[in-house]
Amino acid sequence: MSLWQLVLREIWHRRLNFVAAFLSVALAVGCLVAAMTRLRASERETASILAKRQREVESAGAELKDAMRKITKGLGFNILILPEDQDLDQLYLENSLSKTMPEPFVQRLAESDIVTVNHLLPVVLQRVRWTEHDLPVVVMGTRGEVPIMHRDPKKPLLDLVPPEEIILGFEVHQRLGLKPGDKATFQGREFTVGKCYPQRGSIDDSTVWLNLGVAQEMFGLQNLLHGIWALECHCAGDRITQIRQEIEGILPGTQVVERFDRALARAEARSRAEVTAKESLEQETASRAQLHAQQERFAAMLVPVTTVLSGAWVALLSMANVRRRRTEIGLLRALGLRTGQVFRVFWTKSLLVGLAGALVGVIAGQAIAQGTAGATAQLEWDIVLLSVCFAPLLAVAAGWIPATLAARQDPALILHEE
Amino acid sequence: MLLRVDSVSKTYHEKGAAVPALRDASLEIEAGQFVAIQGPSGSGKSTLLLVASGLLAPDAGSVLLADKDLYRLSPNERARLRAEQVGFVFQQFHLIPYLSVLENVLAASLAVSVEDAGNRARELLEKLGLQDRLSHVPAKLSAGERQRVALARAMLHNPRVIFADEPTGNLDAENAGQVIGYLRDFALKGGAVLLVTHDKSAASQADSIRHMDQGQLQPTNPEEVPVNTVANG
Repeated sequence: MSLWQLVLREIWHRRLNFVAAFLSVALAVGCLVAAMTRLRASERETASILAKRQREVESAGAELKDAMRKITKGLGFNILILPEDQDLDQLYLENSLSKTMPEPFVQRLAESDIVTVNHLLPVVLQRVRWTEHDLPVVVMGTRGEVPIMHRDPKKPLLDLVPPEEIILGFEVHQRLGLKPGDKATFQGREFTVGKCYPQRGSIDDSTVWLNLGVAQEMFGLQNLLHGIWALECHCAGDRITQIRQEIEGILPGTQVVERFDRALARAEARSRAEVTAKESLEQETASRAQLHAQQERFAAMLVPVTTVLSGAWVALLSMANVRRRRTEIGLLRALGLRTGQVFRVFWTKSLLVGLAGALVGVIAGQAIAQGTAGATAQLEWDIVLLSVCFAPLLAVAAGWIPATLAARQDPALILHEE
Repeated sequence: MLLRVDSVSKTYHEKGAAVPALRDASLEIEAGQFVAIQGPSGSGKSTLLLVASGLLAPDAGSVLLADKDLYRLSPNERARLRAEQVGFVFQQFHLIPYLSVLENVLAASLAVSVEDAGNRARELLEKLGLQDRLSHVPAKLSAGERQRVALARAMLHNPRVIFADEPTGNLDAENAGQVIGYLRDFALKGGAVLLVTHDKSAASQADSIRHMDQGQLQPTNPEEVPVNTVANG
C-alpha cells in the first residue's frame, strides 16, 4: 500500500468530486487554449490576407504599369529631342520634321550616365503622299528602343519594324482595305503589312511605320535622324528642367521639348492608383489590427475570469473533500503519517486534477478554436506546453490551503470528538 | 517498563471555561501486560489514552514509551515512533471507506515499512476469520467484522503496545468477547494493551483494572484483580 494507491482509490471512490474539479480546470484551460489559438489563427489569417492583398496590389500595379507603358507607347513619348534649329511649328502643324542630327547621337545618349531618361527611340518623321494611292500619310522610321547601357536593359517599347514590313495606322489600313500579311507597295517599294493598329484617335491613325534604315534610305537621310523620342517614366513638374540640362550637356545643338501631356496625366493617374491601392491595403491592415485587438481584449478578460472562477471552485471542492475526510485524516495521523505525508495526499490529488483538466481542456479548446477559426487554428505546441504547466499549477494553488488545513488537523481532537 | 505515564495533567479550554480532564495521572505498563481502565463518561479515560499514545500533549507530566519521552521528540519523530510501536483500535473502527479489507489493514504500512506486508495482512485476516472478505469494502461488513479488520490493522506492523478505546462499544457480546480475546492473545505474546472501556466483562479479561474518576486514576483495588492474571496483577 502506498500513498499513491490511496490517492487513486479515493479519486475513484469520489469520482464525481474529481470530475467536477477537473472539468472546472478544463474550462479554464479550454478558454486559454481556445483564445490563444484563435488569436494565433487570426494573426496567421491576417498575414495571409494581407500578403494576398499585397500580391494583388503589386500584380494590379504591374498590370497597370504595363498597360500604361503600352498606352504611353501608343501616345508617343513625352520628351522629344530635336535639332536646335528645328522649327516646332512644322511639327505641330504638319506632323513633319526637316532638320536632322547625326544618328550616333542616340548611341552617345544611351552610353551616357543620364539618369532621368529611361527609354530612347531614334526616329525619322516625314509627311508624304503615298503615291500609289494618292494618300497623305505621316511616315515614321524607327529601329526600336536603344538600351541605356548603364542600367538593366529595358523591354523595347516599340517593336523593331523589319525592313520588308510596313505597319499601318487605323485610317490608312481602313482606306486601303489592307490587313496583316497583305502586300503593299509604298513609294515604289514592296512591303508586307506587318500590323494594322486599332483606332487611337491621334495622328497615329494616319501614320505608317517603316524600318529606320529603309526610311532613311527612302528620304535620303542615311546616318541621320530627325529626332530622338525619350520617355522619362516619372517625368512630372519641374523635372523637365533637369532633363533638359542633362541632355543639352550630352548632345550639344539639340533642343528638348516636353510633349504629350496625356502621358503625364496617365503617369499621375497610375501614381494615384498605386496610392489608392496602398491606402486600401493600409485600411485592411488597420481593420484586421482592430479585430485582433478586440479578440485580445476579450481573451484578456475571459482567461483571468475563468481562471479565478475555476480556482475558486477547485478550492471549494478541495475544502469539502478535506472536511469529508476529517476522520480519515485523524486516523492516518494516528497511524503515524507525518503532516508532510498528509499534505502530499491532497497535493497529489490536486496535481492529478490539474493534469486531467489540462488534457481535456487542451482538446476542448483546440476543438473550439478549430470550430470557430477553421483550418488556420493549428495545434500550437507552446500553448499546449503552457497549459500542461498552467493547469496543475492552478489546481495545486487552489488546493494548497485545503491541503495545508488537512495536514495541520489535530488527530487527537478528531479522534476525541469521534 | 514499556510505557510510563508519569503525573500527567491535561485541561481543556472550552468557551473560556477550563475543564480538567487529567489530574496528576500515572500509569505503568510492562510488555505482555493487559491493562484496562474503567470509569464513567467524561472521567478522562480517552484523554489518558490519547496522551499515552503520543497524540495529545499533556499540560504537565511526561510519557515514556520504549524509554523515549514522547513529548520531547519532534512531531515527526513522535509520528514515526507511533507508526513503529503503537497500534490503535477505536469504538468507531475508523476504517477507510474506499479501501478494501486487505487495503485497510495495509494502511498501517503507509507510514512505516512492514516486511512482507501483503502476506502478513492475509495471515492476520485469516486468523481473525476474514479470509473471505479481503476485497470487501467496510460498508459490506458487520460491526464485528469491521472491528476485527481494525484489529488486524493495529497488529500488522507488530507494535509493542495497542491502545484500544471502547473497542467493544458497538459490538454484541459474542463479537465483543472475540475482540477482547484477540487483545488478550496479543498481550500473551508479549505485547502491551491499554484498554479503555465501560464494559466490565471486557475489563475483567485484563491483567489489571484501573478506575478513573474526574481525571484521576484510582489505586488498584486488589479485589478487582482478575482471576486470570498472569503477572503484575
